[in-house]
Amino acid sequence: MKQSNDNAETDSAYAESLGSSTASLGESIIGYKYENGRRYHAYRDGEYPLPNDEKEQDRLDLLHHIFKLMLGGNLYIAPLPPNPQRILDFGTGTGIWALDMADENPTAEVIGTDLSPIQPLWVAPNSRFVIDDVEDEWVYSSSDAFDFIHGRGMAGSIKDWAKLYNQIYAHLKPGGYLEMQEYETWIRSDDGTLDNCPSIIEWQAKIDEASRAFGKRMNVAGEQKEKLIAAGFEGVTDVVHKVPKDALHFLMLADFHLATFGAVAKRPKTERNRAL
Amino acid sequence: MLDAVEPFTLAIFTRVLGWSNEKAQVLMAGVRNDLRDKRNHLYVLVHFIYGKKSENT
Repeated sequence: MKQSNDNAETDSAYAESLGSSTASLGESIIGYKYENGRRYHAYRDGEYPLPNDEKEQDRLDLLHHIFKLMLGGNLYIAPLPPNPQRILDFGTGTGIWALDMADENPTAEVIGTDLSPIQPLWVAPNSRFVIDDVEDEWVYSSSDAFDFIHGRGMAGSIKDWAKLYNQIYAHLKPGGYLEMQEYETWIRSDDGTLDNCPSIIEWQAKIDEASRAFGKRMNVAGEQKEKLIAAGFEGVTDVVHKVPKDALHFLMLADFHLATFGAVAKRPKTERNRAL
Repeated sequence: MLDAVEPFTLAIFTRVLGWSNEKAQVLMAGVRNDLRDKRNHLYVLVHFIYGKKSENT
């Protein structure tokens, strides 16, 4: 919490020389909210219901590696033509997918957007990060259309999927691709053992109820194929991976193991840089 | 998955359902116990969905 206050003070100092708009913008983005021991974003306060603190950033970075392991080391499954020029990663979070994508495509420009400024300050020259709400009207010009747009884990963050997909379609080049990577927030079993999990049964029913009431339902991964088709996309494909709970634990442990040997380079965090 | 329980739960349960932090923590502890129990063969589905914009637009 101290860091946030320090940042706010820095911005107040700026305000005296640069005018109040600078101060209000700074505070509106980094004046994080603390609630029940977790930290939440400030820009468009309350719109995204998951935390953005370091514990959550670590979870998101681990999730990135789990997704890559699911895809055999790949970042996406869409059959992209070679040498994409412009790539957008909306809801980029810690920016880890966008940075990997920039590394793999040195001739492409990769833009990552998010409500939270939790991306590293030191990035590849062909990548940049922008604080933005993807549900706003997009301001990219038609000459800046994208070859590839990617979103991951956006379920629970989007109020109007049809509007989002229509905007994405409009801002893709002809022949450009959209790929969504979404996990269901609904735990299943095939052998009835979910029936022995009263807490999970209550929990996921309440998550569904609360996220619907919030206007951004979480468990919508299975509906995305239909929504892409409705937006006019062609060749819409939904590849479903079944991830057993124990495999997920194993993948996480395997990842920690790699991390200890430096195989997974941990990027400097924005907050830590600020603390310096 | 254990680390995902709180991020998905806490804000919407307290803000939308009006639960106390304590009440949410009790349910989340139960969820983690269900997840840890190796007799439960649980899984989640992950979707990779892609589509192409028409070449003729």
